[in-house]
Amino acid sequence: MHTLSAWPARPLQMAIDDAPPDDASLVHAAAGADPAARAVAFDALYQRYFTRIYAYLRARTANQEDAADLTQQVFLRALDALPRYRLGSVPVSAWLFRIARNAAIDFHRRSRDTLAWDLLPVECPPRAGDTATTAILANEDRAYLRILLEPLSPETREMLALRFSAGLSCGEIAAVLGKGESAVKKRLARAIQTLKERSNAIAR
Amino acid sequence: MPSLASRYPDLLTTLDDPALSRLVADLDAAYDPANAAATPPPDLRRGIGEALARQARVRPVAGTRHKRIRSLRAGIGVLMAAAVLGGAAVIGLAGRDDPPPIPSSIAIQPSPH
Repeated sequence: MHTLSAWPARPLQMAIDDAPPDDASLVHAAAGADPAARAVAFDALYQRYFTRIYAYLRARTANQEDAADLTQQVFLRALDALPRYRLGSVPVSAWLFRIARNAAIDFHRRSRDTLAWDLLPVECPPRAGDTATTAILANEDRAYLRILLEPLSPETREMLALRFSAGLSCGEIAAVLGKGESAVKKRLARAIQTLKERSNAIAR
Repeated sequence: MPSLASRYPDLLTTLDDPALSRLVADLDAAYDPANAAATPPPDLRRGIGEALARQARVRPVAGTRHKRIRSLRAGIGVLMAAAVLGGAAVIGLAGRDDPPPIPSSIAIQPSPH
């Protein structure tokens, strides 16, 4: 396990010339001494994860504004926590989503929400190009999925959000939640089975 | 975009189950970052990016502040440990209420002269 200062230096420019730099190179450069290189590297990390972090937080919050505020908080926290990140301890993706998850938990604790907040958002603004009918159908689909998701435990719903909105693998989800990979795999498979059975029961 | 089966091989264990495929497709659509549900508002990405770029430039060199805090904590820890040990020694000595009796072999004997 290495702290950032002990990690072998690898010029970021070289990595950019060859292929997109991996997360570890970006984190190393973002924690370096050169302010310009730091900004470039952190911006690359930000561009890489912004949409997924936002999508995950949008599934964890009731409206766009809260998701936007939390997204900003997540990246500011990550910037602040960079020197303490231990390369190789967890994947960078898992580290960032752990920060996002904690930000969402803190947010809901502060707001003292009494309703389940980890379901899908009730209603979403239509996408550019959506007709009124497709927007209504999309909202209906989401409402139906909310009914299916309700009986699942919050932790299982968390796993589903990390799997589908964040696009994390079972190994990464395990790192975010501090669980074993096989346990996450089993829980997700069981959750999908439960949802399918519930959907069949409602359809009958 | 890769197919659902290649993105969720752990969940779509069989492709012969239309209900399962439909469910995974619905979940994928509902949570998908490209979906209207999860599309960031316009300008949000740029706004946060600019704020972060400013922060990243002004942030002190990695670890300096934390190293200082860590060494300060270590120093305080050593001082606290010394204080606790000293306190324990004083309490231990105070607990011995009677001085030990002087062994008779070295007790003062009356002079034979």
